[in-house]
Amino acid sequence: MASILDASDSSEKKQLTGASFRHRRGEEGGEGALTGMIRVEKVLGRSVATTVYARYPLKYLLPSKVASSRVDCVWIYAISYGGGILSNDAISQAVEVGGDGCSVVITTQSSTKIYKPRMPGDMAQQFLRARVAENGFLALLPHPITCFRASRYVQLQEFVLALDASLLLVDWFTSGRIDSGETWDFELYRSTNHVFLEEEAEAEEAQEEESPENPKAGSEAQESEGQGSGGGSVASVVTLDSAGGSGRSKSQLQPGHSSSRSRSCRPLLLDCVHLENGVGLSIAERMAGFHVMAMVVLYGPRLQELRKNMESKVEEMTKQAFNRRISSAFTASLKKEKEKNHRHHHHHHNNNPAAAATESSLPTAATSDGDHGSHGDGVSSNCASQLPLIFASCSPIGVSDEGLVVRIIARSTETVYDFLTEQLATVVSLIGACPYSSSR
Amino acid sequence: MDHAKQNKDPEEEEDGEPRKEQDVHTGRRSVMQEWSTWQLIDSILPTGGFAHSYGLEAATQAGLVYDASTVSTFAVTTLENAGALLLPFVCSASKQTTTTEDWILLDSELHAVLTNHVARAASLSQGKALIRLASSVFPEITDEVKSMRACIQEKNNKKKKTTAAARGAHGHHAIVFGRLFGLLGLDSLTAQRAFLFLSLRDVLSAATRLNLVGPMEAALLQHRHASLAEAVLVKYANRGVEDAYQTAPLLDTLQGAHNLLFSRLFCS
Repeated sequence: MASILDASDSSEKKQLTGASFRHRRGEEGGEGALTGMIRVEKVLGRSVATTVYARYPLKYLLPSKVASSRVDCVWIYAISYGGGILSNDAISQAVEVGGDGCSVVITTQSSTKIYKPRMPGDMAQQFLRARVAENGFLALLPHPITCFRASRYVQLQEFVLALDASLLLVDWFTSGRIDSGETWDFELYRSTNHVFLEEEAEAEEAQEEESPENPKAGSEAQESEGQGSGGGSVASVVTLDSAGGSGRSKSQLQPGHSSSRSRSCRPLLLDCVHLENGVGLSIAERMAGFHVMAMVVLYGPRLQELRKNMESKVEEMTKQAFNRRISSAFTASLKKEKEKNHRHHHHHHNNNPAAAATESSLPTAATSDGDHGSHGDGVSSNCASQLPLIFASCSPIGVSDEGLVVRIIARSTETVYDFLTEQLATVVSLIGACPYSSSR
Repeated sequence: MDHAKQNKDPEEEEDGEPRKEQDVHTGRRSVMQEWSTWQLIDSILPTGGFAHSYGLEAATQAGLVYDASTVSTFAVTTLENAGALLLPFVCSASKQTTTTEDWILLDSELHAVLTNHVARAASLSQGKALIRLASSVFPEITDEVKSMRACIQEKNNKKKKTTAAARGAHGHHAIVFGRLFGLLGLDSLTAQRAFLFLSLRDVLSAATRLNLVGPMEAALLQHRHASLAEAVLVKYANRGVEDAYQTAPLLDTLQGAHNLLFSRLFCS
C-alpha cells in the first residue's frame, strides 16, 4: 500500500489502487480488464444501451419486452455462468448512465450463489462502479446473494451521482441454503456500498478527467455497434483499468478521492457490512434466528414518492414488530432455542459442535413449537406465527435528508420479496416492471 | 502487544524514545496525562452519555434482550461493532499530526459511515457536549478547541459551500473524543482503549437503568468483558478509516427504529 501514497500522478494512482484492491482482497494475478461494461444513453429520445460488453464469467441479457412499451427504461440482466461466483473469480463492472432522463434497471435472474472455496483463502469478489449523469436514473435490483458453507465473498459497489441523478439500490443476502439447513455457515460476507454526490468543481479543481478508466475512451471502437441488444461479448478487447476505488485512500482523507473523479465528490453513504466469525459472537448467534438482510438506498428526484411510501410502511412495520405480544413471543422463542441448544450440547457433547451452533439459528415455525409442547411456558403453536417476521428501520441521508436508507432483517426470503414487490409498485411507472414478482 | 508497557509509559509508544532518556519534566507530564485520561473516562464527566442506550432499549422492546445473559451478548456485540466501525475514526483523529482540516474531513466521512440516524444523532449530541466541556475544562488546549467549535458552528450556517473543508464539521463523538486525546498529548492507543471502555460502560449503565441487570451485576459484567474488550482493541486498533465496517446489522436495524418506540427512557 506504500506505493499508493507515493504515486503523484492520479492515473497511476488509479492503477495502483486497482491492483491493491485485488491484492488486499487476496486475489492473485488479477488482470486490469473489466468483466463487464454498460453504457446507457438517450438516442432519439429513448434510453438505449449503447455499450454492452461482457466476458466470462459474466454475460448480459437485454430482453426487450420486460418493461412495458410506454415506459422508457432499459432492462439488463447480469448473468453469471452457473448462477453464481466461484471462489477465485472476480467480477468487475463499470456502468455509465447518461443524463436527460435516461433510465436503466440492472438485475439478475435469480439469487447469486457463492461457492465454497477450493483453496483456503480463496475469495469470490464483485466490484461495480457506476456513474449516473444529471437526471439519469439507475435502479440496481438484484436477487439476493447466497453464500454456501465456508465461502468467502467480498463486494464493493460505488455510485457517483451527478446533480438530480436518481439511484435505487437494493443490496441483500440470505443466510445460505436455508432449505438444506445450511445457515450463517459462511466464513466471510462483506458488502461495501459507497454513494457519492458529484459537486460543481471549483475553478482550480476543474480538469479534464483522465480517460484510462473512463468507459468512453475505451468503448469508442464499439459505439458503431449501435444498440448492443445482443449483450454478448465484444470481439475487440477493451482493457481498461479495473477502476480500483477500493475505498478512501489513506494518504488523502478527502472522501471520494479514490473514485478518481476530478470533480469533488461528497460522500452520502459509506456503508460496509462485514460478517465474519470474530472476537465475540458467531454470525449465527448475532442473527438471532433471522435469515435475510437487506439494504435499500433511495436517492434523487424520481424517488420522492417511493421514499414517502417506504417511510410510512417502515413505521407501520416497526409498530407491529415492537408490539408487546410479538416481542414476548420473540423472547420466548429465543429462550426455547437456547434451552434446546443447551440440551443438545449435553447430549452431543462429543460430536460436532459446529452442527449445534448452526442449529441455534433455526427457530423456524416447524421446530419452535414441535418438540416442546410439554413445556408449560404458554407458547402454543399459535405463537410461532406471531413471531416478528421482519424488522425494518430507515434513516435519511444527504445534505438536507433528501435520500433514504432502509434496513430490513427478516426470517424468510419470501417476506422480503413481498416487501420489495409491494414497495416497487410505486415506481413501476418509472421502471416498467418488477424484478421480484415472478418466480423466485 | 505489551500491555504492561502501555500502562507504564504511554509516551514511549508514540515516539519510541527509551525511558531513561526522558527527563523528570517529561516523566511528570506523562503522569499528569494519566490523570487527564482517567478524568475523560470517568462517569462524572458531564457529557450526557447516559441519555443514550446504544440500541439497547430498542433491542429490549423488540424482545431480543431480556436478562443478564442477553445483556452480555448485546454488550459484546456492540463492543465489537464499535471497534470495527468507530475505532478507526478515533485512531485517525487522535494522531498528533491531525490538523483541523483533516479532522473536518474525518467528520464528514464518519457522517456518511453512520447510516443509522439514531446512532448518528447520538454521536452528534455526545460530540457537541464533549467539545463544549473541553473548552472550559482543559484551558491548555483552548485555542484548538475553539477552532473546532467554530467549525461546528460553520456547519450550522447552512450556506452552500462546495468543499468539505469549507462546509465545517458536524461534531461527531468519535472524532471529537479522538482529537481531544490527541490535543492533550495522550497516545492514540490509549484513546482507542478509552473509547471501548466508554462503550462498554455506557451499555451496561443503560442496562441497569432499564432494569435488566442490577448495578452489582453490571459491575461484574464490566470486569468479565474487559479481556474481550482488549481483544477487540487488539483486532481493530490502528486501522484506517477506509477499513471501517459494521458487524452487527441486526442491532443496527433495531437501533434505527428507536425513535418509533411508543414509550422510551433514552434518547437513542
